[in-house]
Amino acid sequence: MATLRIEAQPSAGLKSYTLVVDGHPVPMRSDHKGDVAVHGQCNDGSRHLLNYTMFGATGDTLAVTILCAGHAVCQTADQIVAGSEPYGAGWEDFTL
Amino acid sequence: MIGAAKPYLVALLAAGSLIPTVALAQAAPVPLADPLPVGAPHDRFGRLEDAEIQLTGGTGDGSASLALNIADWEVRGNSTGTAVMKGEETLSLIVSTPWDGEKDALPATLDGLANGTKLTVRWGRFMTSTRTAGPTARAIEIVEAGRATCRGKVDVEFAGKVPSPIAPDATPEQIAAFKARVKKYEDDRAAAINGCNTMGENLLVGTHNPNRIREFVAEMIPYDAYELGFEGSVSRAEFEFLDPVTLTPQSDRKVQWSLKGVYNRYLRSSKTAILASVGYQRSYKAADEEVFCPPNTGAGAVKCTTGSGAAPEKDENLLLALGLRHQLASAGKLRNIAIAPLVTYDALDDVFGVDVPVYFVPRDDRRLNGGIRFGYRSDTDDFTFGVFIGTAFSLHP
Repeated sequence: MATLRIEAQPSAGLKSYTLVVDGHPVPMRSDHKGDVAVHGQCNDGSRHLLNYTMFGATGDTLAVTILCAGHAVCQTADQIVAGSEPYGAGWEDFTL
Repeated sequence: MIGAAKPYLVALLAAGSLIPTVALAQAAPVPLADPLPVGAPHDRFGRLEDAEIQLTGGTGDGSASLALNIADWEVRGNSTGTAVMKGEETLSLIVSTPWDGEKDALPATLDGLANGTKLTVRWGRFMTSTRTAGPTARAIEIVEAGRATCRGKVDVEFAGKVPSPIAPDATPEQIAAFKARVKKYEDDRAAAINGCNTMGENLLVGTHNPNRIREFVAEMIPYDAYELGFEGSVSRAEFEFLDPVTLTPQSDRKVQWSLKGVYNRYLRSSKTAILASVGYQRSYKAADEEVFCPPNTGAGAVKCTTGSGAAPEKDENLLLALGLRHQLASAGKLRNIAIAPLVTYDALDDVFGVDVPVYFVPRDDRRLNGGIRFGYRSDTDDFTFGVFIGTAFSLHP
């Protein structure tokens, strides 16, 4: 098992966001950081999936960085657009 | 109201305490209904405050409020094979007071507690859902169509930026400059293509496949988000009135209270929020204003006084409300218009009110910040109309 460090950067107005790694919701602390355990080891090349959703107003953003043993293995950023308000969603495939 | 004041004056006339001709001739015009505030409509349902002390209101809803988040905690809902529900519960304390001194700031909402400083305790739950499985085939297809469009735009843009060829007899300096231009062109084009490949799916679809953005949202978010809230409020209001016999000023302080449950649901398939609430209010209403004149003794002009001629009356309401917030379109000219109609029915008094704000958005990249507002109350049969500015339209509080 590998423990991934998840770091989120929501914009100030974003009301809510949820991060799910390999089907497991990531409990995020008030500093927008959290940890989740996944199968595999850092640098083993195993494939994983991040799902994210946002709830807020047009222009609200969310950036996510996933670290494995201190090294970034996934970086993504997204935004709620006028057509999707109040929702935003996406995914990111990444390898360890 | 004039219609209600006349029988009272006639009754006093019969008792010989007033001179009818003076009273009726000098009666100041009383508005048939309190005016709608020149401010933006507020969200009347289940507002969840941020986890900080904050000052809200101003021109928003005719009141200023101070909200203190007492506690909040994360809530995990039921998970299915492909989705997880997650959210938070919040307990907050809110103090609000009318900002403009109107006795009834929002007549069309039938809010009987709007005439005094109010203390509210509110519990709210907000829940959203996220897929636990990978994206659906349709979501991937929508995204890939957006990426293809994005790359196509890059191709079109950079087709017009291809560096011009140089002459066969170009100097070494010209050749070096040409190579630099070609490299910059290739780097810029690669960066633009990479932008298409790495852009977040929501922004990508919203920008390059906007007609399918709601379809994408519905694919990616398993269930509609919702808010559920309960609140209790208590307020104390001071009423001033005249003793109808002595015409001396009187005042009376009354405690008013209410209980309310709210439910808001945010549809994934369209830019629509459905709002519902039920509430009980025990409040007080000031008596109608009248003009009181002392008996004419024949020694000069009579000095009359205007004011309520009786103590406030208890008023109970059982309010059922249903409304929605809706932006008419995600694209095109109608995207500049949004509506937030609210129908409120008082089951105890058999009175209903309709409040219909219509928002206008001035520019595509700005949130709505003004509009017009229509109102109607069945008890007074009054239609009202106003203009509001300052508050942007948003689907959620």
